[in-house]
Amino acid sequence: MADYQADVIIVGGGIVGCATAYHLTRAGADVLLVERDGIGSGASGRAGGGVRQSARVSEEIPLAKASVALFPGLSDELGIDIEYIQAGNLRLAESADYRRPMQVDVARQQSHGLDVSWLEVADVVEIVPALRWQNIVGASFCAEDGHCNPFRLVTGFFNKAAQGGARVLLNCEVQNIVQTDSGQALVETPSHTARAPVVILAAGFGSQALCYQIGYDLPLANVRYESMITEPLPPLFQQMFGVASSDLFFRQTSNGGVHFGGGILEETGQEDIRTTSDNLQMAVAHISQLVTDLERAKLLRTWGGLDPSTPDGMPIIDYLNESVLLASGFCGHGLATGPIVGHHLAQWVLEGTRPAALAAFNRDRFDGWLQTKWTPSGSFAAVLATEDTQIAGSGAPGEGIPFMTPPPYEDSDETSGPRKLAINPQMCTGCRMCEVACAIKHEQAATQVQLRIQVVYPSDDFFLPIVCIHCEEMHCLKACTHEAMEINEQGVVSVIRENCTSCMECIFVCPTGGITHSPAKAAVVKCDLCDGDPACVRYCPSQAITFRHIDRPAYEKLATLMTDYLPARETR
Amino acid sequence: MTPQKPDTTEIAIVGAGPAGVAAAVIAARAGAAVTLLDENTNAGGQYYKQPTLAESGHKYPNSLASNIQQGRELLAGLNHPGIDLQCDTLVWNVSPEELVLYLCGPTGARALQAKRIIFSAGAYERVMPFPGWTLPGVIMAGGAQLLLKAQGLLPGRRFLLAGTGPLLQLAAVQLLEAGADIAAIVELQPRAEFLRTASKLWGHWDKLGQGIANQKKLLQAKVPIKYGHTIARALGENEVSGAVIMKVDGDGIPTPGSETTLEVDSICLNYGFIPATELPGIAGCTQYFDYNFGAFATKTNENLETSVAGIFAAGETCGIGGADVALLEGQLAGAVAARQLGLDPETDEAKLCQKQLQARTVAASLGKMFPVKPGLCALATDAVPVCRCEEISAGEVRAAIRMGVVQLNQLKPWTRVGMGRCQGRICGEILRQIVAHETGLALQEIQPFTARAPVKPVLLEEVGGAVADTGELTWEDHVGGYGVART
Amino acid sequence: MYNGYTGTILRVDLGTGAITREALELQMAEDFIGGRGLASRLLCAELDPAVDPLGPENPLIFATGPLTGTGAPATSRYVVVCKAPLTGTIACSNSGGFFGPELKFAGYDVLIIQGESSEPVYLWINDKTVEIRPAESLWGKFPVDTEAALRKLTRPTAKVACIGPGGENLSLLAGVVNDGYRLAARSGVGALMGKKKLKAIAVHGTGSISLHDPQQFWKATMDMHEKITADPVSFGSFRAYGTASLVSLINEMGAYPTRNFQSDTFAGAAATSGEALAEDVLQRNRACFACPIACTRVSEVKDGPYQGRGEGPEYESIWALGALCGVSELAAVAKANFICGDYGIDTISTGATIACAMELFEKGALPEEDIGFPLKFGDAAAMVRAVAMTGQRKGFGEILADGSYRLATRYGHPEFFMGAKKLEMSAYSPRVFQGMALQYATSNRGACHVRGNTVAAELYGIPRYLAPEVLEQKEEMVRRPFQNSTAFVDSTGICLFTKFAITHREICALLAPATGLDFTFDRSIEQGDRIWNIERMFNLRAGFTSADDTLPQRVAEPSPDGPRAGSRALLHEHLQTYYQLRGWDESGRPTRAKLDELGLDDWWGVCSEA
Repeated sequence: MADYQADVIIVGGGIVGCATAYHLTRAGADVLLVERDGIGSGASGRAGGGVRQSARVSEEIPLAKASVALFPGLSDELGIDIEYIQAGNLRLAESADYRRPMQVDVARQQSHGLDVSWLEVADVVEIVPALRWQNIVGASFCAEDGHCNPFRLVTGFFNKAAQGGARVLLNCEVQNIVQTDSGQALVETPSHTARAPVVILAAGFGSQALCYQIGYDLPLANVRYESMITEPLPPLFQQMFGVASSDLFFRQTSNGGVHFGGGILEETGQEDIRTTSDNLQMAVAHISQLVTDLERAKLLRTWGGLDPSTPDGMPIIDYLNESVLLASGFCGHGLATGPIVGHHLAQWVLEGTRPAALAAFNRDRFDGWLQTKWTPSGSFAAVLATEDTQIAGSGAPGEGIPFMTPPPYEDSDETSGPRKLAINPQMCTGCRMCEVACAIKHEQAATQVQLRIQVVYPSDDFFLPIVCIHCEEMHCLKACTHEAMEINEQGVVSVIRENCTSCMECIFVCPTGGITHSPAKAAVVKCDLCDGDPACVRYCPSQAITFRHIDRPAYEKLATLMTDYLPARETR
Repeated sequence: MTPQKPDTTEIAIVGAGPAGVAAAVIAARAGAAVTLLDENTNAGGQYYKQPTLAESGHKYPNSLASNIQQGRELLAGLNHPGIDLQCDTLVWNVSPEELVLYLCGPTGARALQAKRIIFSAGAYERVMPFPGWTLPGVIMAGGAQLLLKAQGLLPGRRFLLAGTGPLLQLAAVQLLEAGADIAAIVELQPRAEFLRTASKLWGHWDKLGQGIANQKKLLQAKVPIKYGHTIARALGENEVSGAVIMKVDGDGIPTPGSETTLEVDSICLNYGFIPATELPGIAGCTQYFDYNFGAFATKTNENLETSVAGIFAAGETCGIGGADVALLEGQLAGAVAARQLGLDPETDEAKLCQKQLQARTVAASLGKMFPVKPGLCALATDAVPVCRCEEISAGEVRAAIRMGVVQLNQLKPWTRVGMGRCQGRICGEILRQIVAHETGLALQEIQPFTARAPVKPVLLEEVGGAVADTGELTWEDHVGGYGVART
Repeated sequence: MYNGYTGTILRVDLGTGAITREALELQMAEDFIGGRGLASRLLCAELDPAVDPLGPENPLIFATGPLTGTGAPATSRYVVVCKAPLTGTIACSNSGGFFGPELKFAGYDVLIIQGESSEPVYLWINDKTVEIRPAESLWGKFPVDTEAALRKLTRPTAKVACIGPGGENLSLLAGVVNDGYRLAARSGVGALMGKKKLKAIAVHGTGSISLHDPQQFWKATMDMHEKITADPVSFGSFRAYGTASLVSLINEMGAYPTRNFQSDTFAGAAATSGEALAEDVLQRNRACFACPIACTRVSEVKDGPYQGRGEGPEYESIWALGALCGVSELAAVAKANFICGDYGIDTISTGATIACAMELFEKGALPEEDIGFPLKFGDAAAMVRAVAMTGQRKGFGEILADGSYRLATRYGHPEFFMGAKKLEMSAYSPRVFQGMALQYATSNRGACHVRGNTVAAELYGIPRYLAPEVLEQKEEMVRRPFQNSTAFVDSTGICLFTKFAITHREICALLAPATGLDFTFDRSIEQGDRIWNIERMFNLRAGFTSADDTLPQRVAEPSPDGPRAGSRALLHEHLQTYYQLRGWDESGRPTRAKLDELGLDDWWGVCSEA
């Protein structure tokens, strides 16, 4: 028999765990909270303290608005001063390159009903005289945002939950969650076992190991950053600050210390809370260039920060089986949405139906996509399918068919619509002449990076050039919210480089990998059929790529071919 | 801000006390380029504190005079061309991979890269809180000695010395010779225990001799020594006007009703010593719990190498052992480091190891004699502050402990203890005693605060300036593409 | 600013671990172009040719040409140059695939490996960062497995050049294997890499090769592209059947040496011809970087005792492991070819060594107990077993692994060694092709066909037809349009097979806009001549004399059978004319006038005083 029996077991004593425990106990549920270390010892307690709706992925904005609206009342509700200061969030642009993309992003957020605006440097310094205007071009400003003491927010919810009857096991690591046949989940820790019909898994990066045991491969990377705080200083500013390059944040806490941090967004496999002298010096140098008379302030403390990040920057809130409800991957900006997420999770458990507000965070949004990996520089990198992973649809078509056969689709008499690239893998010899021709045409040099067309080598006798197949659906055009895509004279989608903000939505929606990101151009690149005379067609020695009208069935075969072999793509 | 190249040296030694100086002298004689760093105005550390006031012919009491003279002879070895002594220089950070130390000194912030590093930063005095312990006039016994040695200044007129350990009686003698009036010495250990120390010291005539000499002087001056007692309260509104002492039982719990009040204007405390392990902690050197002195210290092998390649630790940092152990370990560490750089220190390291082990065993046995029992925390009633920087009371800490928060790193965010300027240097050990007292956990089960840079608060200007260009990227390279905001 | 070239020479000393970068001198590029020429010039400056070829002073030079990686057709070649472990002459083994271009993308024209490592290491070149890393776990692996393991250790996109177990065992037949199956095979360069305990070099580059005049370069690429795709030989038969299409052709001419050159026609030729290969073994063709010809064969023997998969066999391998050993079972020949690929050893020298052993065995000079089993001409299973032993250097393989010259002299029959300067001849009988006879004898790396494949003229009439048996003008033909021209082509980084469709003019038309340097047609011949002469001087200093410009006695005797019965190599008649045309004295040493004409000086005092 398990030591504990509860209505709901919550794994993880962070903001989500404690807020959910609070809302559940208020509704009379019998809650057991199990935390590996101490309350708020993970990402929540180490956070930067920002309480903001701005600079978020579109799907998260409604949730953030609802949650930020709760904050003014939380200190009274929780009976603890969470040191909430609502004086706005300024996201500083330090070079002119960022003005255009940030203005476009501000427009996007406004379209979602956010009261956010772009300010030129003169207005920014008006609000915050302590800034060094020489190093600032402008900023996006959201007046409703603010910041709070992250730890007191978490302990506030925890105290209320405990007073409401929630039982808590601290310094107690959950090692396994087993689904028993009686419809209950058995939670095993070194010292205790506990049983409950519902288990909420809100352990941040720690959730990955438990998900794996349940059979769900949680796509989470742990991004490490570092925080620093000075000794108490006279009042400088009340706003919360970030920077466009998103590697520095800063605020002044209510006891006067300036809390700042960021630095290298190094992605580590495990919970790494090291602090390094490089990061420290870079963050200090960076903030000293933005805030006046900080040099004479004394640095008091540094500590490591944790960002359990998902590939698309949004959390995953979904049932893994009939008992375990996962809620993690808040990518470093979960503190602000924690309170409302706690409320919705409690509602979901009590009423048994997924609240509409959490619809966007389902876990099957990753099924069928590439197993993508979050890289700090914001660009997605397709993970190469190594030998041990099964390439979808393997049993390479080249096998058994004698070479030099006609292409898998016939010439169609279809003459309407634009001509497109037709790829015949049987003819392809893997010589990569198409890559060279395309590179010389667009970059005037036989470059190996930022390729619009790239040959993959799934096996030693099957080679396939992967390129945009100019689909009718035009997913990328629809997904692009920055007007960085247009239809050119060839009737196919091409990129407007200046408008592209590298937000990666197009890469994400494209099923055939026809778009890659070029850090050098800070924009995405895709095939635009070289104004009607594709260089790859002209210089392909084996007629593996032809420029023709192709009918729907042939197009579908080509699309599945591309999607099947996309994982074999070499990343440069 | 272009990162400058770090200065380089062969052996960097942090802490110019007995251990640091001994290591520097041996290594320099072997031909190594040594940089000896210390945050105080001049070398000598605490034990051999040198007078900072000009040679005004101030007459020192003879026990102090001999200590100062010994110190001067030791420090004479420092004027060797191979030694670059840098005083008033704080080492506030270390990056273990490239063995780079980050300094703030008179010439501003710099980085120093070495082939070998020796940490010999000494120790701090342990204190146990009681009502009134934060009143002006309450100072540490070692602190009183420093005032005498450095400035020849008597910190008060009528003294009470309280705590446990041989230092109390030595300090009392030095204060007497300097003209002070000693109201009483209050020693935690019962008399029988204290006398057994004599048997322990058999064979170490110098220490035994000094102990007996002190006892004789105190007897002549009719200074009452109360064994099995402790200070229970310091009296006075805004400065010390008196003190209340009480008997304590074997577990350090004061017996009610045994209070006696004393007229004093100064109280000197010493409950033993705590190793200074901040820099080894930041460098990632493994620590171990030293049962003899009830505190964590840096783990070293027989050659005094720590768990991090290229980093040594010598003296009190490896465990409290006193000046003799520090001198021996300084020589050993200096010799091994020089040998590893291919130089010949002309010493027999094996013999040094042997002597060091012997000295360590004696110190350990002494340490066992003067344990501090958690029961003493009963004195710290709920109103008594335990974290002076952030003014957090024992009551607030006990409330958090009752909520199940039993580790220091969790107590910190919960109650703000350890968030002040000393970053837990003083309150850290007090908190461990209180948690042990409240929960019954063994002292070694309660981990210390995590060591993080800076060791002591440093100006942002100095931090931002001293970027060591060891091939690392500059901040401009780190401005990645426009990413999704994180905080 | 360099165009075409990256301008950097990377030098790695495996002994001290020092990694340094040097600038490429433009003057040296103008004189020696790149690849074979540049590397040979650098080699002459690096060492005294008299050193022990397996000693630490013998550097291993990987060199690309200015066109390598630029994207012009078939610009995939790189060379491995050093003093040859097998022959003691200067070695220059050529290979394609993707390794050469990748080295250029990483930013290096030439990689010089010096010194020796005490334990197995591999070199990881990732753009600017170069590391020497332990290769304990890779030692003993086949090239394909080494590459797969390295792709995990470094980056999935890394290109790898490595040695197989053959190179590790210091077999003098070992070559350097890149991209899984492509071998820089001849002269035993793999043995030197093995001696240096360098298991592999993994390269990853993200740079691009800047061009002096991209538009002009692109236009020149376009015409060459048209010419190649219109050529019947390279784009026709080579693309369809690979080089194996020559088997039946050469056999019908009666110039297909068989059973260790004892005859020039082979009954089993049809069974091992290109057409036969196409039916049952070939899977499909595969190309090197930017190559329209795609002559590489991906082949597989599906079942039976010789089951296996890999690339090739090409014409030379089919001949050396087939006809030369009298073996007509295609599956066995293919399997032997796969084994050579796995162990990283040269198929021509291996086949020739086994053929020599077979002759020694059949003539009683080599006892069975030495070998362990009977080894007769035509015995396919024995041949395959012998090839495996050579690769593993086990049992009798210990002796086979050092080539047929050492095998023949060891068993008292030096005359059974069919080659020159210790390098075995290739698949064109010198009795029939007089041009090839002169070429085998005078080639600077020993008897090999790629230093001046006069068969193109004597068979296809490219650049103009000269009957195989004709003697006149053969010396000039061998010297200028073949030997010098090949020296030029091997130095540009473009593949020799393009020479069927194009001449120097098209190559110079690429070089000038790519590099911005003064590459013209007549300069190209002079550059070829200069390269040939420094190789000659290297060999003279290494102890070779005109006495070594000779062929085995057997080929001087009439061919016993076949359509060209009675023909024999008439080398002695045109050797002296060849020397004069070369501007050498009668003992084959470059004259003072020749050196001045080429702007060379006599570094080791080996040239003639006149």
